Amino acid sequence: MAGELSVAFSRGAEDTHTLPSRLEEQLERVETEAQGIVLVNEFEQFHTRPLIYSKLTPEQIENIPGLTENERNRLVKFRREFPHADSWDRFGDEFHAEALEVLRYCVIFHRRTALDGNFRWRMIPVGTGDIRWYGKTTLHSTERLEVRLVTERDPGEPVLIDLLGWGAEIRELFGCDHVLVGRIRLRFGHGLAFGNSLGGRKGSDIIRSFRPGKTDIRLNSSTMENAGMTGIVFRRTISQHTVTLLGASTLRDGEITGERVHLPTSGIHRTERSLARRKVLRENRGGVIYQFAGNPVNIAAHLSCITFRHTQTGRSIAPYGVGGVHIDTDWFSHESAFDPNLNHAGVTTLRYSGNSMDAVVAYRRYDPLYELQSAGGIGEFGSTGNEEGFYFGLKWQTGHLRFSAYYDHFRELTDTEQPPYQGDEFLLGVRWKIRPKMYLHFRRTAENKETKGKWIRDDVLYTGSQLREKVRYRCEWRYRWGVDERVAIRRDWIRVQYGGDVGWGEQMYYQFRVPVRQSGWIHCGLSHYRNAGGDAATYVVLSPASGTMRFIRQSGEGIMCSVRWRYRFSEGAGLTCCWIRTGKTDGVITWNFTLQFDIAF
Amino acid sequence: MRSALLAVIACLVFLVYPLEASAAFLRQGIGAHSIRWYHASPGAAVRWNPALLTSVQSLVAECGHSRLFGLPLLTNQEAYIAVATSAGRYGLGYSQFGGVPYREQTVSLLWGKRLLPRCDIGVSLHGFQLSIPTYGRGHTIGLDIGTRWRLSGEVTWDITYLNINHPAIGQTDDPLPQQANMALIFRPVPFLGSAVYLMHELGFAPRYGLMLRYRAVHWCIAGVSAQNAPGQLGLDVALQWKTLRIRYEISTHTVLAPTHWIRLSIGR
Repeated sequence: MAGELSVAFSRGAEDTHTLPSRLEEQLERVETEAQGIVLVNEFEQFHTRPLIYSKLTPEQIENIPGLTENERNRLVKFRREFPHADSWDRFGDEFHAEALEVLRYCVIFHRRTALDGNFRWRMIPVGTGDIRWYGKTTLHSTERLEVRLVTERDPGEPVLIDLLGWGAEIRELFGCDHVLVGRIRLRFGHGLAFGNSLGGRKGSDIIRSFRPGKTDIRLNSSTMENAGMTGIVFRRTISQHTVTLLGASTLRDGEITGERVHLPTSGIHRTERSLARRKVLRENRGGVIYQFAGNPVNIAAHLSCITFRHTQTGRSIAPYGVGGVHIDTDWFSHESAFDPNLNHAGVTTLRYSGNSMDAVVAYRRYDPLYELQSAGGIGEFGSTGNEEGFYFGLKWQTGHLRFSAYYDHFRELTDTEQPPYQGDEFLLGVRWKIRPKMYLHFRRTAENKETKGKWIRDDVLYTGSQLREKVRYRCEWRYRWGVDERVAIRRDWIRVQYGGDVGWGEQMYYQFRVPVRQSGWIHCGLSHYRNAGGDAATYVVLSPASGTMRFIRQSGEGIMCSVRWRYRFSEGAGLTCCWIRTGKTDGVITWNFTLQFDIAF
Repeated sequence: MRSALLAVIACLVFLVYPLEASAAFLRQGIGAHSIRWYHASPGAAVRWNPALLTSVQSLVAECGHSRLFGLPLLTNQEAYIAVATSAGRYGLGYSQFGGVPYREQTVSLLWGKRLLPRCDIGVSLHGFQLSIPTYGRGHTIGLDIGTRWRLSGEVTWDITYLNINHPAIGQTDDPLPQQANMALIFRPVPFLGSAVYLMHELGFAPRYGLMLRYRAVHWCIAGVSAQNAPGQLGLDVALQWKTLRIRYEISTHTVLAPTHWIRLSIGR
């Protein structure tokens, strides 16, 4: 079965207008995603449970996403004419290349043996030539057992296996639907989220962030994931009720001061700062989660008891509890969480979803003293300040135009010496569908953030007010042939983008991607940036798996170019190379290279 | 002092090691010759990738000798045997590197199996003994894990982690080098193959190499290889009569004398 990277499909130009509306929406979602990876759930089921060609039924064929009606009929016909086919290669001339990608991923020819899975291995030479290694192996056995092993080594680390992530998920054991052992990840955020332990992030299209019912615990799929724990989870579902029991004992970096635990970034995150990580703090956690999946009401509640003990000094703090509750309907949701001192944080949202318009109104408030020691362990984003805010988001489509906008007013709640900030943030985006495969995007964001009073920074006393204004704009023209799903790799398209920050700088950005035969594709990008100020905003951050690039602050003027090449050795095995070069007018040149193999077996 | 001497010898070996090397603790420059695809070689499984043991079909015995740069101190003797069973391939080996003032001895136990149609896996366990008469002896155990993936009919991919358990030796716990190796082998036709490989020992810049092998007739295989850091060129020729194979290799060095290496194996 194909690994994630090899799952890349797009639609042929001649078929685009016949796509089911459901898929079209997915394509739009991927196309408009500014950054990051979007996994499309409809394909996830085929990752672990692919269809068997020799046992394909018309109903199963009907449920394969991403195929046109014509292609489905052709597949039914071939299934009847060639019942003993053993490879998609013989159908290479009958299906469009992108349709074959879908079929390769969703349909296999032989029932799996007792053991199968996929393996991914990546190397990134950094700086002086020291290499970053990454390996990930997933094994499946008879659909009841899944084992995952992730290894990683960062440059400068003294050992070959710097970080080892492992875990197993067993189904139908001890009367439980699922038993998880190893490194696990908690996900308690439900709806819209702005801060500690609650939901997702405020983004360019906030409405997409609503993913109700995401209370979950699952195996860590990467050592890059923050706040992983090591423990065991039992989960059982009876009718609409699901109960999950959790026990974990995890070593983290950190310190105990008085009755408080301080977890630095390296304690819960897997970043480059992990070089300074010390595993000296043992966190013991026991918890229970209850979920009710009703219609239209979903309810979830969680409660955890946590202790910390310093393995070297022996210091510990008294056990404390944290918890939260969430209620969700089609149009309303509320989520509350409590820290050990019963400080409260909550998010309440109202939603409307119509044929041509989606709207969200949200109110959030985090108590000034609200603090969750391992916020990253409960929610996934624990870095925002304690604040109160009101948010309004709107998405409206009419004809060939689609508008998306949001307005957010926020005010910090704090008891520190530093005066609180307050401000507004605004986004307006317009997409004009000029032709079926040609788009023009415009997006403008503005933020005003003001701080008044007295505050100390770097031992210097400031008095007065500080107003930070930021305006960003982006204009983009895009012509596409198709879109890769699952890993959100856009393929077969041309994109020209112009944007910048008012008063800071501007950039031009060209990208195109074309298939190279049926064995892979090549993607090229060229960016020219010019920043007026010293603190300008241009960036190069590489995500080799998704092929996305984001910008980091970089002053001056220069050119960035990137080339990514994907080659498919055979069904389920591929190689991806990525090369990025950044050159500035002052002569400074940096480059980045990534090599990744992936193979399914 | 012992660690200092160990460091000096390690530096010497690291700086001058040729393309051909032994199964010594410091498995530097093990290079292209081990990336076999014609003959079963338990020695290559020790030096490069324990998953290569899966190429053993019944029973293979192998012995070898090498002298690095013509220096009597830097000699290597080794002997291996591997057998195929229903539970996988097993191998046993012994190698000795160095002389009286500094001697490394390694006993290796190997296991390899075709785990999946596209994947071979191998594990080797090494018992290392370092002997420096003036300063005593040290022992430790190292663990290697290797895989070989058949990406397609023509392309094979090796990845190996050496000393994955981070062993240390001696009273001062001097760490033995850990290494990650990777090779991409392309064999478009049965009589011709090529490989690019990478070897990365932690703490040092990675080294890259390229090799070509050509089977002119069924009893003769010739190869050429090149590697950077330091730059080396290697030539090798292997002759075969039934299941008996003899292999000779020579590798140059930019400063020192060339290294000669010979190996004899029987079985398949």
